[in-house]
Amino acid sequence: MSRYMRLFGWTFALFLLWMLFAQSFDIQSLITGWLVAGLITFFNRDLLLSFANDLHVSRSNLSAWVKYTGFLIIDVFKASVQVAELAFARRLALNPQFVAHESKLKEPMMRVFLANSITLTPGTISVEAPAQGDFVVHALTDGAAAGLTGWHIENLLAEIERRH
Amino acid sequence: MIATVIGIAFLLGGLFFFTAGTVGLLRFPDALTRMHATTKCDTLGAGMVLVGIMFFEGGSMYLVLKVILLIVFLWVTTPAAAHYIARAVYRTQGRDKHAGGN
Repeated sequence: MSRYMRLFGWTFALFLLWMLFAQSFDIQSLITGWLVAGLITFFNRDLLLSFANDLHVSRSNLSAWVKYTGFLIIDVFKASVQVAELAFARRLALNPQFVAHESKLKEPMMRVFLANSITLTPGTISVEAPAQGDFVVHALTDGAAAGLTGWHIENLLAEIERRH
Repeated sequence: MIATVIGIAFLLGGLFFFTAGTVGLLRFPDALTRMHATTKCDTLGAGMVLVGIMFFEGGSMYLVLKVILLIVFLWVTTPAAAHYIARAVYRTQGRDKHAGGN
C-alpha cells in the first residue's frame, strides 16, 4: 500500500470514528471531523501501521485472530477472578517473582500483542518486552510463572505469524 | 425487563471486580503486585459496566459499536500503561526488592 493510501485510509478510519461518537451529520460536524482526522493522521504520519504488513491481518489468518480474541476474553475473565480470590483471601498467598520468558515470536508487532496479552491474563505482567531476546515477566504466584511455558495464547499468535 | 435484569447483573459484576481491584490495591505488598490487582480487575470491571449500560440504553447499533470500541481502547491502553509503570519500577528499584527473594 502506498504511503498516500495509508494516510487516506487512516484519515477515513478516524473520520468514521468521529461520526460514530458525534452521531451528527450536519455539515459543520462533517468538516470538523474530516479536518481533525486529517490533522491527527498528518502529525502521526511516521507511526501509522499497515493492517496487512504490521498488524498481520489477512484472510488466511482471520480464523486464528478470532480464536485469539475469544481465548483472550476468557483469560481476562479468569485473571480478574484469580486476583479477586487473592485479594479477598484471609491470608495473602502470593509469591511474586520475575521470570525470563523466551518467546518464539519474531515479528515486533506480534511481540507487542504478546506483551499486552501477558499483562491482561492471569497472574502475569510484562515488565520488559524487547524487540529481540527474552521477555521479563512479573508473576504473582508460582503457578502463573509456570503457566507461561507452552502458553496457548502465544501459540495462537505464533499461528497468526506463521499463516501470514 | 429482561434487558434491565441483564444490565443490572453486568453492573453488579463490574462493581464486584472494581471492589476486588481496590481491595487488592490496598492489601498487596508492593507496586508490582498492586499493578496486577488494578490492571486486571479494572479492565474487566470497566468492560462489564459498559456492557451493562448498553443493555440499559436499549442496545442500538450505534451504542453497541461505541461500547465495543471503548472496550477495545481500554484493553489496548490499560496493559500498555501497566507495562510502562512496571518497567519503570523494575529499572529504578531493581528486581531484588520486588522479587520476593526469587
